[in-house]
Amino acid sequence: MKRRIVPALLLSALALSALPGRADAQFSGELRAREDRSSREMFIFEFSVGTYTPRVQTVGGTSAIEAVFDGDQGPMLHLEVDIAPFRIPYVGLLGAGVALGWSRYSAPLCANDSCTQQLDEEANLRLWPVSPQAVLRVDTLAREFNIPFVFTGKLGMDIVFYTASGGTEGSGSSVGFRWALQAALELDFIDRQRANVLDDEFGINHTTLFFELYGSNANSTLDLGTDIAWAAGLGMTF
Amino acid sequence: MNRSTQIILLASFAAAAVSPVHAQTIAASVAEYRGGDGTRTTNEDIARGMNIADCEDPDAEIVLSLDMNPGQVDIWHSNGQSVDCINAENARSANAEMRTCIHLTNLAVGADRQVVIPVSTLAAGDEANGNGNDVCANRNRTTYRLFLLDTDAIADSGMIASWGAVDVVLDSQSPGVPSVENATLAGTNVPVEWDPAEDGVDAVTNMRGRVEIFTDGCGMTDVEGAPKETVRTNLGETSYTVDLAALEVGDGGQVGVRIATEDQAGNIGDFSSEVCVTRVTGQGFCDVVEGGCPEGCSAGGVNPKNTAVFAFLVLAFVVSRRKQ
Repeated sequence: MKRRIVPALLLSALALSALPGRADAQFSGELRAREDRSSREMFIFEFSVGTYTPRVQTVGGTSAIEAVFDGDQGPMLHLEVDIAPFRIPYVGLLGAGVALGWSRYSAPLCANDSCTQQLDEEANLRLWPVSPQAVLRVDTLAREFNIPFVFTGKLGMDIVFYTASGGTEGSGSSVGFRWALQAALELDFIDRQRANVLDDEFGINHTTLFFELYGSNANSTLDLGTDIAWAAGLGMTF
Repeated sequence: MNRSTQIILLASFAAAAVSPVHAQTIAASVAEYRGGDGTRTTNEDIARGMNIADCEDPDAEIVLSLDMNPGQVDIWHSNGQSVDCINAENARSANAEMRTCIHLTNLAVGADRQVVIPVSTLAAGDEANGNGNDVCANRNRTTYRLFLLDTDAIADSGMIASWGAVDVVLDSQSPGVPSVENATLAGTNVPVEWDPAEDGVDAVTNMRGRVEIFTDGCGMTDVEGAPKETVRTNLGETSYTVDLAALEVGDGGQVGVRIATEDQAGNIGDFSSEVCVTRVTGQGFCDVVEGGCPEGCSAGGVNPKNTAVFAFLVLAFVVSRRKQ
């Protein structure tokens, strides 16, 4: 009896799993048609989280972040909106945008240079990088070969505002250049039907998970740039 | 009208004449508390109720506002219990030993339709049996429902023409002693934290800290007339940052700090043990970086928050114009 039940259950499961497959097949023609008339991509929105350690050094030549904040690495939060009015055929989108960041570093204040005694108050450093930049988003693989990877390069300015409290207080900003390279995985392949609904209903063409490496030499006053930092997050084109 | 109809009508009138009218027709509310911490009239003050200072002030009064003027009102209260002093059996019994509600007094209603009840009258309780004379003795945030009866000045057993009720909150119990974590602290802007010592009734969000800072140094809390500054924190706060630079305490100088908790009704508990705070100038970010933090910088005077908000507004504008 048991021998008959198991194959029967397996066959039932196969039959059930085939049903939605057939529905997908019926839908695919319409899907392709819809894809062809998907709305124009013009804006890119990104939210990311990562680490950031400014290069700024102490009088003794060691990392100030290490010395004062015990190597605190942030985190750094970023919001970015880009406008991409140009599409280069077979390459991707070209445009410009602004990234806004926020990061906070804190640790108990040291009583002396060697930090042999910690005080009962906090030392704080807050950074607000504002980065206007040019963006080239290469989506050839995703658009031409259905491979869901998109690569983005960014180049622009980095204006890092800062405020420091605990001990002597200070605030100001530092300016420099900034670069970034990003690899993104388009999530449309998970459910193309829903991806198309997102486009139809909200104008969101693609959603992505991305990883970005970036650097900055914002050092016009304090050296608040970094050789290399990373961020990971969620992106949308619409 | 036949004879039987006349008899029925007469009987009805007679019944109406002798039956007490139990319809609530007087709307009453607490207008203000006078005495103790001064005159309090705001909604928050009324909700906070009366405290020990009110009980200890012989001139303290509760002012009730009525929507009509019955001339006089006979005042009863439920002694902090959920007793209906109008309809409950024996609630206002003429037999003082039997009654379950507390009879206070008979008071005239002013031309401004206000009744002024001395807190001392409330604290004295029922003259006839001594009940309710402990409302000012260790009651932790108790609600007393005052019943105002229009009885033509006939106390206790008078006929009720109309009546009203109003709740009065009384908290005659102070919160406990707050505990502080550290006996000594060091720095320039030093946060002093405490556990507010809940009194079992008031939520921490409704309590404050009273912080006393003895500017002549540590060990001065018991010295009569020692110079001190008193700070009342915002509701719910359980820490206060002592700014030694603002207090003009030099490097190595000390201040003594102690904290008491103030409950929702404004009762202040006993002070905590002293926290001795020593001024030590620390080495912050701007103290250790090469060249310090330059004044002005390349975008000096620009507020980063304003810049960020401006940038977002520009982006929001652009996005709102999208695909047009």
